[in-house]
Amino acid sequence: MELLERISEELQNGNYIDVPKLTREALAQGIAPAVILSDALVAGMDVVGEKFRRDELFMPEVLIAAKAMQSAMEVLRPKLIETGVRTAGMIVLGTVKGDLHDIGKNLVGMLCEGAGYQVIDLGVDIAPERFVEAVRTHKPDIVGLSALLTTTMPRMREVIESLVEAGLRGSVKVMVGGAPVTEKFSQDIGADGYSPDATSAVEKARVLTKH
Amino acid sequence: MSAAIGLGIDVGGTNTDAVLIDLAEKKVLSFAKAPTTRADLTLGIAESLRGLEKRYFPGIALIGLSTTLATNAIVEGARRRVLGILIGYGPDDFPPALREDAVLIRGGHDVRGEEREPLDTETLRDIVQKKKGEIEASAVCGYFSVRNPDHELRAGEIIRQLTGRPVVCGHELSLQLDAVKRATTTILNAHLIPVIHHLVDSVKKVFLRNRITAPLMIVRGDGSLMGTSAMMNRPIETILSGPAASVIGARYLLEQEGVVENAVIVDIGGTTTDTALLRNGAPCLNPEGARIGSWQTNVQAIDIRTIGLGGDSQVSLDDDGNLRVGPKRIIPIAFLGAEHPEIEAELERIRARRDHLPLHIAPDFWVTSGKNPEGDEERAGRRIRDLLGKGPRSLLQLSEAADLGMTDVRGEMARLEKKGLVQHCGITPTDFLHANGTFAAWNRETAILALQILCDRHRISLPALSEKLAEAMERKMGLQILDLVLAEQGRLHRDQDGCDVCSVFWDQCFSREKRSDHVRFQISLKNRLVGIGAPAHAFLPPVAQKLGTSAIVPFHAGVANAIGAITGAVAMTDEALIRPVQGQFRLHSSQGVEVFAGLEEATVRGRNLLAEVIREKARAAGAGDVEVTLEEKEHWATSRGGDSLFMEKRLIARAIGSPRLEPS
Repeated sequence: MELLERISEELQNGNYIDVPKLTREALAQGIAPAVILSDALVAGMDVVGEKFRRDELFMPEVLIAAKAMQSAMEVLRPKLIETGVRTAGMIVLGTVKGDLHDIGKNLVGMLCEGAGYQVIDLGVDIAPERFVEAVRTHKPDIVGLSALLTTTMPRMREVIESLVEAGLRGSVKVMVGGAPVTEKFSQDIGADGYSPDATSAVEKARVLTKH
Repeated sequence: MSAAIGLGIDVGGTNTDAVLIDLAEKKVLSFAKAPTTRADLTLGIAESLRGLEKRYFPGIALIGLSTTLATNAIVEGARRRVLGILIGYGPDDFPPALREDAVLIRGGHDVRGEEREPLDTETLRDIVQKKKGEIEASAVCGYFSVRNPDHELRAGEIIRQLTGRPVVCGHELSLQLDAVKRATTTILNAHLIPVIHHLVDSVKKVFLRNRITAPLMIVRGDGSLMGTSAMMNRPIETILSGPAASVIGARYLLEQEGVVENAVIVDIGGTTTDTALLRNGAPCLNPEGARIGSWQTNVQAIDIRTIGLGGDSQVSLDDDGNLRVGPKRIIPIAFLGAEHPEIEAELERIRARRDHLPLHIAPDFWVTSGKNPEGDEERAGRRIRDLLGKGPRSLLQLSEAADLGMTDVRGEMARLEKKGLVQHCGITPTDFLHANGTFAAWNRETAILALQILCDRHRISLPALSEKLAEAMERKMGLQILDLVLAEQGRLHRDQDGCDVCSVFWDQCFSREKRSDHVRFQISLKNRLVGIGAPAHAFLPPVAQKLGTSAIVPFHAGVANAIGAITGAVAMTDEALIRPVQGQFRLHSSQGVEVFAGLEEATVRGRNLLAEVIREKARAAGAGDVEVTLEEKEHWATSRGGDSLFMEKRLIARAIGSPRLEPS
């Protein structure tokens, strides 16, 4: 499986030109799409995430790697659908109202896609009602809330309360994250999960969607 | 001066119990039981009063009533003509089954209590004008009304003016978020308003006929009492009134014996066994709110587990000799034998022919329920009913007379039973209790005969069969108790039978076939079991032993429910919430939203407001002297960078007081 290792390596290098090419090659060799996804792409992104966590990579490098992942996914996605590989689950993401930061959230989105999740990114500055609407429409497994400012942290609680008021809280898990957020805060506002960084966000998502 | 006497009445599913208590001396003076008359509850109440010592009646200063009326009315789907106004709700925001009662109106608030859309009073007026001739009561629910009740209050006032009928708002019934639960609760409540009005009017007449004029209070699902004038608007709070009264009664009886702040209360009746927890002298409430039938409400009510297991549960053995007990309730053979001694001859006949009958033919009888069928009746059904018109008939007799196979007869009987035309009689735990001499109320001979038939057929001795029954009952009760006490610790994985961890554990402890040879488990429950209900003293002590604790069955345990109906306190709660928004402090209360520059300012206003509101609420609920406590919960968060962040302050006011008595 030399080819898969190469894809993984190139992905870690952020080679978004070659990674999709190599992915096509792997498909041509008859390697199963699900195997390419898990053993090359997700494996590569796991390494990237781990290195990012250890401060061995900078944010831009991670974003380029994620871009490589996305280009490969464009090749792979139709094949995955053909072969009927189930997604790991669906995640609705957004940065809360009053907060325009999106890098962390985007990274979580990419890493979650890399891990096989279907991700619906609502964007930044999202009002509680829009999260509620998205949960009602898409029926995701998880809704992920991002806040980068101390002053917008309480907005996360407002989203959770709006889900409660809409009678939807029981149907979805809520994850929170962002620089100022802590585990204690997450528990206090009644979230189901918290992660300090993008890599562990994926792990948390896996725990929350494990049936 | 004569002592103040309380009259407690519990209208249960089977019996109506009445008790007279010396409120100062805390002494039971007199008690009585009568069958509950479901079609008209007042008949059973009047009958129960007849069994009490009349000489105490002039001293009665308070009447307490617990009743399953509301629960039954909801479960049986009794529908009144009500109007539910939902303000700012989306089409998916309320339960489909209540849709026909509900109208959506524009308006509503957001999570901060800010108006999302102005209240559409014009449409509201149009709708109410059109319907006002036909509606008996109304419910008003606004989106996020617990954060700002303004739209509910305004809409409620409009409806009240136009209809002159009772109107109840969502925020008056619940302080919790969840617009769906709130709408369910409020609309069901509106359906119950005419029902409770009728009940209160008719029971008051019964009391007047007995020259009892004391104030009437009703037990709420959390065990507290509320005067009828306040209760008229909140009848949904009588959900689980009966079980709550039982727990309050158990607490009262325990105090008499000088015991226990914490206990597991086990109420064993004819049909069901209910368990609940008493913690620090108060019943544990269900944090999810009471569930009734298929409805999830947010009514604060006792957390109770119910299983279909009681003195009159059906006991059967399958071909492999496995014993099943419950959940079906039937008429015990001993009871049938007391009413119809002639069945003894038939039991003898079945016993004599036992070797010629299929194995699954148990000593079952049927009697007519006295109800007439609706519409046309099939011939087989009519023939059977004609036969039962002459008295109870066994399966064998019915099969012979109707010239049908046993299986066909069973099928036919099941069909008639479902329609409520016949009642099934057979072996129950009550028959075992008659056979071993624990109970002697009814016909012991017939109970023994029936049990012998079962024993002969399955080649098992009566002691061995009794052992099997005890094991099955103890397992069911034990699991229910474990499930209840463990649920407090967090989430348990549950399957259909309840907690599956508990059942594995139970079998490891007690099942001869299933337990491991390598390890021995044992259970040691920290709290004692308190048994109430007639069969408790027979069934509970062995369960307690297995759970590693002891059982108390207080004197008067048989009427604990009626005692609880008169010994509760009046208790009311209200809350206010202070939240920071853009450098200011918003105070959310039942009076609306007010904005302050400082936290202290907001707090002072909140305290004063609650103190006033809660006293008024307690007084309206029928409290005499009221003790008010105020709890303040301030919540600060710390960001990862170490910044402190004020999140909220919650002010919780609780008022508790004894019921106002009639001046003597």
